[in-house]
Amino acid sequence: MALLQISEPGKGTLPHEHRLSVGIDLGTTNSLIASVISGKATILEDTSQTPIMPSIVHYGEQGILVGHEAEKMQLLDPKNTVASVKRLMGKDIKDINPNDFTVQLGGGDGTISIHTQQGIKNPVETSALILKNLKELSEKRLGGEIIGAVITVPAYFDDAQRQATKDAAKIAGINVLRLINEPTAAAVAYGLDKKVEGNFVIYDLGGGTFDISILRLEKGLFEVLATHGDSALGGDDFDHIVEQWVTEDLNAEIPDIKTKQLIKNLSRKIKEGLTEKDEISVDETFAGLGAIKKTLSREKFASLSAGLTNKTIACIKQALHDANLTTNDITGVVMVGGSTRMPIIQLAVEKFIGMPLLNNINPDEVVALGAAEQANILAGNTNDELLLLDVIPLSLGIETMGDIVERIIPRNSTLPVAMGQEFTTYQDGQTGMVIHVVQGERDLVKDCRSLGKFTLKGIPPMVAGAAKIRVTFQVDTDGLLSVKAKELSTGIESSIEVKPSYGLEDKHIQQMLESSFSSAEEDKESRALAEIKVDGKQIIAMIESALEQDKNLLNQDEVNHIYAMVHELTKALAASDRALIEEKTKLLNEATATFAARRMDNSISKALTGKTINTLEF
Amino acid sequence: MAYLIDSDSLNKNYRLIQKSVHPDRFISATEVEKQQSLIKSTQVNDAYQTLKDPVKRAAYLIGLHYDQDETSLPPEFLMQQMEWEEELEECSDEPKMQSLFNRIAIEKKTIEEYLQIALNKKDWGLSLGMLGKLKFLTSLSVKIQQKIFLMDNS
Repeated sequence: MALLQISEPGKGTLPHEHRLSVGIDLGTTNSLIASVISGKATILEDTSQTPIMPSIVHYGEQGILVGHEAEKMQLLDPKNTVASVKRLMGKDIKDINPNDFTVQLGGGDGTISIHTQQGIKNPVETSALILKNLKELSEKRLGGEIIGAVITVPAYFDDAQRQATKDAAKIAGINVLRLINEPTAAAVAYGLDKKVEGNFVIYDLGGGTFDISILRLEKGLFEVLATHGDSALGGDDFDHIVEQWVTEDLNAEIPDIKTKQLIKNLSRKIKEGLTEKDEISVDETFAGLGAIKKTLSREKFASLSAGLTNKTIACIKQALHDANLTTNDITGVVMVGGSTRMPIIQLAVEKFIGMPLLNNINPDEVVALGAAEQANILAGNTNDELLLLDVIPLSLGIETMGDIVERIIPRNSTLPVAMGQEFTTYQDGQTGMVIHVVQGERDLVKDCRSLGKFTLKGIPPMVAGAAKIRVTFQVDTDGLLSVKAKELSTGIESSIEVKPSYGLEDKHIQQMLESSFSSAEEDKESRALAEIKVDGKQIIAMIESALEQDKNLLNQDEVNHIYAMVHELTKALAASDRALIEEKTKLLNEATATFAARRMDNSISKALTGKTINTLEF
Repeated sequence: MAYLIDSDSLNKNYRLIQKSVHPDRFISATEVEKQQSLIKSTQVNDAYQTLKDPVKRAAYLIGLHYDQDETSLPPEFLMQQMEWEEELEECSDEPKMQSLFNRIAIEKKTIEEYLQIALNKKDWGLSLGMLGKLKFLTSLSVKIQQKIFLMDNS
């Protein structure tokens, strides 16, 4: 139930039409976009009629290519072709192995630069190109502008990686309705179809990563109870096992990269072949290596890769433990990711959980389909009361003396969450302090991900230990962090809003955003003016409708004040002064803050009407 | 004062409230409402975490009326603590650990009932003492569970 409703069709200023929205699975290797069309989540295909777009960007001499076109350039011009950019998002050059990439990478201080013939690029803008391509594809297919998108991220993505993803969307001109976790999206795709209830395990084995989520589905509510995983375990590791089997009897060293690549491709084919067949025979001759003639059975493959399979089972155990559940409490298992096509994986999971698996939706598409469903709900196109309650996947903390991490928000806390911690000064007269925010489960700062350092200034000079500074960490529903600090001891509360300093600055994003528009200055100005006017009118309509409903929550003075502000904004909207409209909109927003809070309280009591509320009485 | 609560209705009410205040319900609302929704939804999560956990719930209720938050435990309880710790130390198989876990669970339930009585009598000092015991028993059961979990996986 929304606080301020949009008018009924035909009744008010804002007819409630179907608002176009999409779900995007922004993958390491491939990306997909889907939308709910006539009530059904559907993958949108590109012009080549393939639902999957390679997540590849080519910075060519002539121009930029994205997707299939860029994929072709991978062999022709690898030095200017960026694949797997997702692995670079929100990372420092120290976090990755530059040899995994064909382009030259540089950077430092929490950033990575990509060196191409078109100049130095960064992962965020490269990712934005992929997103922009998907957006254009969807608008062509859907025949209109999309109002927003749900973009999926791996559950283990930390704050920096999430922020980078959101920034990329911003540059691509996409309004992000919500970032949701990939496994959660998969569960949505299954759950909405079947209206099931109970506890579900989402087993997501991709090309290079593995994720486990435990979800509770109940009466239109998805609650993520726990997440776990291994960001360095995936289908590639199974290829590697086959590769070892292929080459184990060879006496000679593999002569060159090309042969190595051939063997790699062969191994992958064998692995994939074992999905359909019980055994696969190889009879090939490689120059400089001789003949390889042998047969791999599914059983043998299962025993060779038991170490990997068991690792994934151990992750399920840990996640169940974190969620305080046992296998007996599980209602179903959802399989996500291309690697879950392997029968040996399906057997192992089935055996451990003791029930058949849910795998009737294409594991490559299920995430994008779920994201599309969720986008459709968030856009307000359904009467579905579904609500998704997700958790923070990694603990947040700060550095204290001796490089030890003080945990502030434990992992698996339900979002949104805010927690505070009080600090004091170390020396007499100290007026500033540095707060270092980290994310991760380890005890030492160096083992966690550094999200940024910020300095608190302007603490009144006092004896050591007298100042009281309360630092609050707020994590929103996208899993993004903001930090607020207040000095309490003097009675004067000063408050600052700090965004961690990693990655790109807002200023930088703004620049990239502007340069992505080719239009002239006036165009931009008139577009901005038109947008702000629409916003202003929308706000007035919403507030008038809210007043109509809930005027009784306000006294006459308060009502008059809001009407006065509405009048001011209406007057401003008639003219074409952007700054004035901005100012009046802000004033109107401020004037309705109390009203909004009371309506929120009111909707809580409405929600509980007729229910026993003894749990809330003290 | 209601300390012993029905966790089913707590869960149900929590979900009902989140459905009405969660930021997902305010995607196309004004900035002010989005902000309010974030604040409320955060508070509701915080309240739920406090009410759901018997230790946090008791600490919260006592904290409403009493400004001390720690008390010393009686010597006989300290003796009992050491016995339990020793027993856990010596536990070598799962059935033994499960039996200890069950005994601790019963003990916990009794303490929670005492806590309810102490809170009703507004005897905050006594309540705080019960809370101290409850804290110990809770962390002991977590330890036992952890040990069972590790044993299962080895």
